[in-house]
Amino acid sequence: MPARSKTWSCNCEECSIVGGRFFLQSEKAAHLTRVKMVRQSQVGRVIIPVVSMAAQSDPERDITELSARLASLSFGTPRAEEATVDLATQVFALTVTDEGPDIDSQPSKLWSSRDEFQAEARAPNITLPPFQDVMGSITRIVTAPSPSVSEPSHQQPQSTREPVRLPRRERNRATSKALQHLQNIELRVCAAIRQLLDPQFVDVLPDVESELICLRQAFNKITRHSTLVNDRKQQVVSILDDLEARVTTYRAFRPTIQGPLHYNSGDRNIFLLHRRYSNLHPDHHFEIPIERCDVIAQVAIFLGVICTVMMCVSRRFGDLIMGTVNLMLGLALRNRDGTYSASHSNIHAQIPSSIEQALTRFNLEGHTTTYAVCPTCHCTYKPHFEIGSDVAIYPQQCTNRLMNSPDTDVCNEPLLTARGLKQVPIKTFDYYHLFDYVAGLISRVDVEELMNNACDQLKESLQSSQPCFVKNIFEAEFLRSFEGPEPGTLFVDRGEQGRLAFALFIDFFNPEGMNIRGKHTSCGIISMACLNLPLDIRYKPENMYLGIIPGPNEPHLHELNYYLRPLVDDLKVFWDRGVRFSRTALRPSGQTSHAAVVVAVNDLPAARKMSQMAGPCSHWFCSRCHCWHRSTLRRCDFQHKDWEPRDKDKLKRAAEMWRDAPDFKTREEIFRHYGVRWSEMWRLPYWDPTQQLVVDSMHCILEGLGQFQVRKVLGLEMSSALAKPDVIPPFTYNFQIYDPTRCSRKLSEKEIGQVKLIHKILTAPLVDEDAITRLRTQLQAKNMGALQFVSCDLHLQPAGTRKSCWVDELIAWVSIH
Amino acid sequence: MVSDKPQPMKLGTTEVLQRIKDVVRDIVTPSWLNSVPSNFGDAAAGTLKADEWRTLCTIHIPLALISLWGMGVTHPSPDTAGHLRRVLDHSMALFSAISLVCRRTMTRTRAEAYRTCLATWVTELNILYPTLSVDRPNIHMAFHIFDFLHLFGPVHSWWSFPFERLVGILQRLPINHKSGT
Repeated sequence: MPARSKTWSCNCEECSIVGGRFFLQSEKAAHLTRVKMVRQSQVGRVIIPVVSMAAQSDPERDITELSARLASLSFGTPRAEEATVDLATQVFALTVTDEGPDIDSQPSKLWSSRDEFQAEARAPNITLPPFQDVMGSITRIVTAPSPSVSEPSHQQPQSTREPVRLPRRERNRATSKALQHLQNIELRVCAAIRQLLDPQFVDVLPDVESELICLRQAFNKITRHSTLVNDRKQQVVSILDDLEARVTTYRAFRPTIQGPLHYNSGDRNIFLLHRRYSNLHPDHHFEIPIERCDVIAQVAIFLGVICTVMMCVSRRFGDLIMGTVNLMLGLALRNRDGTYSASHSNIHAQIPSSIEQALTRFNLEGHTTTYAVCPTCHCTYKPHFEIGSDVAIYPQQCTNRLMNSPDTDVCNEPLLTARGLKQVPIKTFDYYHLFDYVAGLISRVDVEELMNNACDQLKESLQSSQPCFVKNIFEAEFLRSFEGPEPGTLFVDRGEQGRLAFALFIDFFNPEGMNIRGKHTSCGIISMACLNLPLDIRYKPENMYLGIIPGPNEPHLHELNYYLRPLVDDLKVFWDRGVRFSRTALRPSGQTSHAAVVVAVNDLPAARKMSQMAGPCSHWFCSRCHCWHRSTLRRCDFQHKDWEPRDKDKLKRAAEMWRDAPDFKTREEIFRHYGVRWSEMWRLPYWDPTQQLVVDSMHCILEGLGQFQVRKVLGLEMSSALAKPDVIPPFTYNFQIYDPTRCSRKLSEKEIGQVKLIHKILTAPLVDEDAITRLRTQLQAKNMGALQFVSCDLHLQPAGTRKSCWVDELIAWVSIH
Repeated sequence: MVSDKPQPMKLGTTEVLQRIKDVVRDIVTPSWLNSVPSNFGDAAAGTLKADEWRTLCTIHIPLALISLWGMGVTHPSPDTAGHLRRVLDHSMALFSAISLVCRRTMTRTRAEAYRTCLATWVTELNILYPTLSVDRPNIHMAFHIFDFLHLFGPVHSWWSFPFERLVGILQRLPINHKSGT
């Protein structure tokens, strides 16, 4: 690298007058600072009169100064050496006395062309306004209440001549990160306050309360001490207190709602929970538009829907089918003269021309909410809606605080992208509303009856002891003793309410199918089945709940929590408060129901992801018992106390500690000690992973142990059947390996390889009588050099020089050993 | 140094595989029983599904192995006969456990029999196959299935067959090969 020059040349205004000046490197900083100060003072002299008018320092002195200057201008005593300042003062005077454009006197820009406008517009007459007018305007400005103005920049030149530079602590990266966290907290507080402006604030009040708790926790985790951070913290804490005060006020106005949540599944008059889905008919489970159509229209719509739903015809071809059917029926229904009778015209109008219209007649779409997902950290964001609008609004950036590494940082990934004129999320997660799914189930007469019967039968059978032959989950131990939401009563003791038990399933799969060189994307599925239903209809796809976790990558470690959060929110309401469905199949006036996830069915890796426990290949290999360390995997002493279930409360406390840990290091320490992370499932009061996280027999026994026994233990595979068996040598000997640097004898490449083979042959077992003959044949086939090397190593001296003599010696040696 | 370990007998020979294929071909099964691939063991058969493993492990393979290694079959030496019988008993312990766990009705006795069979299988596994690497978490978790059989009854309510079927339906849906992002 070239050496740095010891001098530096400056061509600023002052130095250029003398034709450029040279300074030493050490003087460069001081000179530049002086140049900067001079420039600032020049600018300040123009701005000072304007800015200081609104400043609260000394308006009277500034007005006196300005009036003196204006007076000198007005009364014609300009001072030539201050031309710039005079011009600025002139402009200022014109500005304060300007009353805006006179619309009536100006030519219209809308109707006249540019040339016409230029010709008609009068040239402005710029003269200095009268002195009294200017002073009057200034006085009005000064006396009027003005918004606070930030510190004027002229303060800096008046301070010491030292360069203004923040202390090291303020410039530190930790300080800037802390400031960014505080900024994010402030943004979220403002968003929460906007939510409270909603007329239906009662709906969002619980969300805002939990948000406030999260923000307080996040605020308390910021422990950086510096001047800037402390100032900012004071600002943020004041708005947090303001939000808390509002929440407390509103909560006092509307105390905690004890009763069940109302859900409109059929009756228009009941209070609407999800009014944002006004495009969907509120009676969509009970009144289906297709039933009101004419028969001919019904058949036509049915054809189009079957093609799309069952035969998986694409949308374009669906439109083609509907359009063709529409045209065909139109031609068939019209009279000879081309007109339509009234009834035929009515029928024709009912036939849709696009497949989307046809699908809406069947009300096949469920209620979903589209969440925005951060492409990096998988954090999900609920949309919020302005009053009276159906347009979803998402945050611009991800404000999730990551703790995946020692540097805890805010994610800050953009969430939205432009598509046409709108901003849409880059990645979405469609949450299918649990209440809508259940409303759909109980809108069917047979299904509702079966669900109620399951609970009633179990309750009756509680009078007697547990049956010997258990055929169903409702006859087994867990549900017989499962406590309900009201303490002291059983879950199945339903009274007039509905009680629903669900099995939850999570798994990941490749939607691209099995391709050797194809794409490997990974989607997830969250599915639930209602255990009240009998086995033959329980697992039909129309009776199951389904949610899709989008790809292309699986969420890593605790990121699955973000996708589970909306479902767990609804499950919590379902348990704590219950949901009153406005209409069911058997009860037109409605019924309140409670529901619980009784069992969680997954394969081993997904089970650990859902419950956020350590993986099956770690030392915490069991999610149920105390057995620990991989070396004990083969133990079968199941009477030992290590096999007893772990304490659920201890696990919950450890998970909460993990969630509230201030940094990555503490989290890793907690995980190493307890083998558990925070999972959204812990928010459900009844969740006990040691009891409810079952081991799936299909993966464990059939695909796991059965396959292992047949393929690995017994070796019943063609590849291993045809392979030669592994031979255990009956004895071992310390043969000398050929080393070209030490050995005097030179061997070729082939002979070096043969030395190893000879070693192996010599230690092979002699299982039968022909083994000696085979051994002789094998040794005879080897090169002389290799045989000689091995024999010398074994200190053997043959009788003759022929190869067969060397072979005989070796065979004799083998016979001895 | 001399070792007196016996040479490990190769169990999975072509003869055994051929016998299994014969059983698969010749056996008469009820119509509701799913079929298994007739070229079992070949690479061309591919990966078997869980249901096929269940049918093989509970019906076809036990029949084939009993006919080869069970009573009334002559072997080259008494040691071979004894060893093969032991291997057969060991395999049958696991197949019995599988058969018990897949029953549609569960009792306390059945669950305990399942656990006993499984414990026998794991113990003998350590003795008969000392060189085999068997550090699999599935072996430990299989013991806990006993507890869940008591809590939730027969496995048909809490195994993942129906959910995997749903995943299969989703995988077969036509897509445009563009992921959401």
